[in-house]
Amino acid sequence: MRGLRGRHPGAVCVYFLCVLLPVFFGMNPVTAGLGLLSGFFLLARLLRRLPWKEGLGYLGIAAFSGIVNPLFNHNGQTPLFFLNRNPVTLEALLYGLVMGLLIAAVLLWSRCFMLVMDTDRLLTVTGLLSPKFSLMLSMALRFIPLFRRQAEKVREARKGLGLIREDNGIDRMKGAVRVFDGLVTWGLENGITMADSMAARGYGTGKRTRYPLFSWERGDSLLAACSLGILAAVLAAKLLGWIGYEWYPRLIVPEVSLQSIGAYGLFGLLCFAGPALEAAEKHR
Amino acid sequence: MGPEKWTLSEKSRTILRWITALVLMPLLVILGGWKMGDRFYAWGILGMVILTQLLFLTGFEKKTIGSRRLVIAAVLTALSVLGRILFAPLPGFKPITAMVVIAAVWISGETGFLVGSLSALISNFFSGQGPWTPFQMFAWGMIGLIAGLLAPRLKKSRPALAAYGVFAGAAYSLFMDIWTVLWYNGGLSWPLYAAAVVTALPYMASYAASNVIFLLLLGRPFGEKLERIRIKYGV
Repeated sequence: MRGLRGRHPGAVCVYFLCVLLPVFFGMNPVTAGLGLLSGFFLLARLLRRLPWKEGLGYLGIAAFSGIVNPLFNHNGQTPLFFLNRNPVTLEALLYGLVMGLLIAAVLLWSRCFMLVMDTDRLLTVTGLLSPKFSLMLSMALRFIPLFRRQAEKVREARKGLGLIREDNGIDRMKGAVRVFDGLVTWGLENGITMADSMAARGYGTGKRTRYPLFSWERGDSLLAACSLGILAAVLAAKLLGWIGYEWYPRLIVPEVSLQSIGAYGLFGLLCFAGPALEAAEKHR
Repeated sequence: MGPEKWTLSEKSRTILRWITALVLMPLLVILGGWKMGDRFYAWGILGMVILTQLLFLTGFEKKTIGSRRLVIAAVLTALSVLGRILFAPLPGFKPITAMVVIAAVWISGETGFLVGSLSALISNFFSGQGPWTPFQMFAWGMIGLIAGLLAPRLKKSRPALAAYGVFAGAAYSLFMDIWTVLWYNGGLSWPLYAAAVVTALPYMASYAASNVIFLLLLGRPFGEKLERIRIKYGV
């Protein structure tokens, strides 16, 4: 078995999207909880340690949201107490807590997304949609370390000439502007040369050659198809009202039924597929 | 090399574009309005912003952009991201908006949009990606696009440039505050929005101030450089 990093980035993106959308749009404690728990395990697999500190931080966000929401939101019909004549309601408190769980889950999964999708993978995905955009992104990313080195050179040169004073904020600002100024001229000229050499080697005249780092295999199709299928099932369950919560004015919890258990089960399967794939990864 | 798929064909890209515009966007509006009621704003806006990016990306491939303009846009993006690092000793001062505006005014609004949204995407590699990335890409892109529309005026007068800097800082802050509220609350709530705006006031002030300073400081000299490149090399 291969982990997420062994799969095609396009399929991985579809997978992350299919997990994030129900968590993000659901406003449902079960999907948020499943997302949070599976995200924790996925982060643990990716970092190869148990991320207690991060986990506590994310739970802190959830608690914060639970406190803040009832202070601003006075909907709901079960007042706990009054603050400045405004009711602080149970419904708003619960809503805030679930919202916090959901935000924490999304942050956790975003963190995992960053760990799985490095720039090579991101460029592959944008390349699927637009090779031209991908090319620009890749050039800009390459320019950053190059320009940084050049900026350092310019600064050293100016320092050597005794032209840089760093006594106070204004001097430092002036110095930085001068360096930046030189960098812009150099960068633009350099860019023109680069564009010319691209043109000289035939950019834009015909088909491109390519160097694909990742190839799309049957396993990728399977991953993407399963993710989309489960997303469709969860969406259908939501639209049919099997798993929809109502918060205001009174909390209405949907009945536990075979259908809702089925939908949650499928979504749980999807959530934990990521950590499971990572855990089952065989090292070669 | 085998026949691996490395990019979508132009045909499937066109199909994807049509599906986005004719199926996904209306579906989002109808389903969102029908099933989510007042909480629709949060996810509706986020969904729309993401779909707009998808539409832009799939449409971008069809555009004929000269290789020179392509490279120059990449250079300006790298410079604006790097500016953030270069001016790091002065906290709160980020030249990204200024660079976006300069690119838009002295090259074209479209370039401004590209530089803005690419800068947001890339600078989040350093400060963390998340669901807010499309929002920032959209905000900075629009700042560039609008500056492009106002280009003739902004090029002529420095006060106008400074005023646009203030506007861009305030608009960016107010727009991202909408996102903050949606993100924490799931729906738009005016008291919460007011609270977010008030908490963000110092940031808004620092955005506006740094935009004005950078635009006044860098606008003319960089604009002239870009103008020269544009005339001399026909970018």
